[in-house]
Amino acid sequence: MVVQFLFNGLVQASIVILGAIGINLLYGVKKFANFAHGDMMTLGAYFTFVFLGGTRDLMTAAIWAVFVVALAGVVQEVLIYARLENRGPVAPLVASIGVSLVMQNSLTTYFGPAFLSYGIRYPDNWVFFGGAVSTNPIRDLVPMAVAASATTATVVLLKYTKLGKAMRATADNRDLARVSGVNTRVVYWMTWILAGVLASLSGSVLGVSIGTLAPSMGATLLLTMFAAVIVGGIGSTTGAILGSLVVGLSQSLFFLVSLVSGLDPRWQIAVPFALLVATLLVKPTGLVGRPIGGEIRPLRTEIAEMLKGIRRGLF
Amino acid sequence: MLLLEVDGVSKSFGGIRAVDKCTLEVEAGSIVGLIGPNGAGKSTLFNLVIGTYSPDVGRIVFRDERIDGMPPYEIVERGLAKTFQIPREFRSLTVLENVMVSARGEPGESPVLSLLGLRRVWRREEELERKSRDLLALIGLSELADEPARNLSGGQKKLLELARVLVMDPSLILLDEPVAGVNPTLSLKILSLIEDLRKSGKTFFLIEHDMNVVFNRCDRVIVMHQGRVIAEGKPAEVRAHPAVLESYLGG
Amino acid sequence: MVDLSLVTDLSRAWIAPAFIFAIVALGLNLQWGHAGLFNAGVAGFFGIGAYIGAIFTTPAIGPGPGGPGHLGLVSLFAIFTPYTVLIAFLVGGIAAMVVSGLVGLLIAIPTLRLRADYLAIATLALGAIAVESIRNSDPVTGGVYGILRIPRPWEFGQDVWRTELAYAITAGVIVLLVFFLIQRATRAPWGRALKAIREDEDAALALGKNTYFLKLQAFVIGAALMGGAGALFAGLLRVAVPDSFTPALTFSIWTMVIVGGSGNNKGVIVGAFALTFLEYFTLRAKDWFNLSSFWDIRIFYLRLIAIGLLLIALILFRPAGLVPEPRKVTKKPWILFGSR
Repeated sequence: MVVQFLFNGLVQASIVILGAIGINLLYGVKKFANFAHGDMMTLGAYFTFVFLGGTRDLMTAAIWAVFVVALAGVVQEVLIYARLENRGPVAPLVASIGVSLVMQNSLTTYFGPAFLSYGIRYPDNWVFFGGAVSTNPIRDLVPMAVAASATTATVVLLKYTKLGKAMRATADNRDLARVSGVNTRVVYWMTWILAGVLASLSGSVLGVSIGTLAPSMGATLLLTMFAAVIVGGIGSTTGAILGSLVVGLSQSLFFLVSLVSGLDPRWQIAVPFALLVATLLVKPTGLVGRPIGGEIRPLRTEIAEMLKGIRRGLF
Repeated sequence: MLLLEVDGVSKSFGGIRAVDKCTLEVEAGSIVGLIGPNGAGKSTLFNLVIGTYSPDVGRIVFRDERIDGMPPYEIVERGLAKTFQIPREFRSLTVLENVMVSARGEPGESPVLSLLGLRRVWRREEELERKSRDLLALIGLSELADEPARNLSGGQKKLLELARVLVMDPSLILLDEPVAGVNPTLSLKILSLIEDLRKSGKTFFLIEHDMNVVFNRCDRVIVMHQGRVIAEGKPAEVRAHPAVLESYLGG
Repeated sequence: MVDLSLVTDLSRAWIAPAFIFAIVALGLNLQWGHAGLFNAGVAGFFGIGAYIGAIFTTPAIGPGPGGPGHLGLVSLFAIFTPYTVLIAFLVGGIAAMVVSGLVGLLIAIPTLRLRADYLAIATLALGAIAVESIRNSDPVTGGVYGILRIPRPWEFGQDVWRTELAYAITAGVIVLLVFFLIQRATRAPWGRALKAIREDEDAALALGKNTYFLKLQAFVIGAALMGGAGALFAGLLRVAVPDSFTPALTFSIWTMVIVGGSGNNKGVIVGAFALTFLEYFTLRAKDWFNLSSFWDIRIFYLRLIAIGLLLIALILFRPAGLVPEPRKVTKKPWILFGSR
């Protein structure tokens, strides 16, 4: 049974991972936390639905949707985020909240608040290891396969291509990259395209995996994705991958624990939050993250300062 | 009397040693210059003294008390103050408020006292405003007192930096390139102001790239290179020091 | 004779909520406008306050929806005094502020030492978790059914308009009080130090400000205000259900603060009234314009789209808001206390 839960954890992680990598890329290159990332996933899922009406083929529809979401990313960059450069991390963050509201509610206005479905007929489960793992080939294996291949492709792209190197250089030091001949504007666009592609794929995959589409489907995953990014270490793709695995596996292990202990399984939602807070407390840079701007002072010191302040008196 | 002692202090960032077993002293009532090529670790050393960073190893002693590892506000409380190399004015606060906000130990900075609107808080506030306006008059920014600080020119921002530390009544002032990028007239004014303040008992420790300033105005000069102190002494001695000639002045 | 149902409706659906959201917006303005602290979990603090207030005041009505687990101060105080509801209401409000402030403290301690967006992510998570916890803690909060029949002071029986107007006035008086206190604190040296931190935290640190402690104060006080407003909100609706505290609420509070001009306490109250009117308008548009059922459902989403566009436009073109903050931070108040 443990194996089954670990397996479910991997499925969970594979839905989170693509979004988490996208958030991380944007955070690295554009230096802000994109609160609309979940809604970009939803956009992908819904456009897959739209194109499914024309193509009748889920895979083709998902690929068409990828183009739409990537375009939506570039449009956001040109209209909004390019104008918010040098305004610090918070102005684009607030703008992304606006984008999130616009995207999610436009979808709701157009498609209505009710659930939609791709109308997939799910085959029977496959059973492995003499019944230790039971899995649905479409519901579980497709997400894993898509996540694994897209993640590998992204890692290869970042590591070995000229674009990837330009992206990493821009993330490290924008001005230096610019001086050494990197066209940072193109890098920004490509980052949005890549993040959009990954978001759209994970949205479609999410729709396939849970079987229904709702306008809030991506937004509800935002917290889990941020938790994965922070647990893994912000600004590192390896970190996003590791973080997604940690969060996905802990969530499914929580189910196991709740089954054994009688704890209400609905508290599963608290798992990413607990991991996030624990990371911020113990190691804010995450599992593999690099230090981010300035010195982070130990919590001990900060609390001592607070207590000193209180003792000296608010009065 | 020794005011500041830095003893074997090191600090690394991501494997790079910015400050490497640095040892130096500052006498009370003197003007000490700190020179060295870019990246020698001068600004990092200042940040270590004021507590923005805490040293990996070593001791920093101010007035016979160890201050390394203390948070900046406790160090400032003991009478140390530092200006920034590139002025860091609070952009939307007025010039006057930039000075006033820098004062230390204002009771009104407690939310409870501010909220109550106590007479003594506002009495202190009026005294502080008078003092801050006097300081602005001293540095010649009186007319701009009620302008937002972002409207100042680069040189004026340097002056504001100076006023912000003076309002704290520190005994030791760390100046990070006080006259860099300032026109000659203004620069002369800043330097004579420093001289006057020294006569009234303040101590200055300053980073400067202009050798004329360093060799004519400082009592002692300390030379850093790659995080280490490579020479120190009277200006004339330092100027003749072979290591300095080779690593810095000669190049 | 004046149509009293309009008084009822305006009080209940616009004026009272506007006052209550004005308190939340003043709290957020303290955190964001004055100290530059990003709180993406406003609805969480507001919801915690609402439930704490409800749990303190509402009597237990046995098992089932709105079930047991409440302290029911209303019935407790009834033994001692005729002003039971008012006392229970005050105690509940204070408890809401305390609990919400404590939650704020716990989330702020680890995150305030990090870059600004860590606080944003942590509070976003907190907001989501707070609401989920409320939803899942059936024995205490009544789960998805929530807490029903929350008492409020000043009930006038058949005269519904009086009851509603009295509550709106109560909320208004509280807004005035909060505004008065916040204005005092933020236009004093404390507010000036907070603004210095907002402008350049490293510089404020090097100039000897205890930035961590100052940020903590602003965050906790802001969170407490949100909690207190939540308790008022529970009284207004007379029910507390988890669905009232969605992220969309957080974002509309944000828009109030940004419309009003972050850092400007008066502007923020104006922003609260404007945005709440937008909500009132979408609620009543059906009756006013004979909307088809298609648009009747969708006008709520259109409102959120409008808020989103407004947020983006303000950030791009008017980051200082419609009413910018005063040039000089400090201003001596008219009324001073104490000797010397």
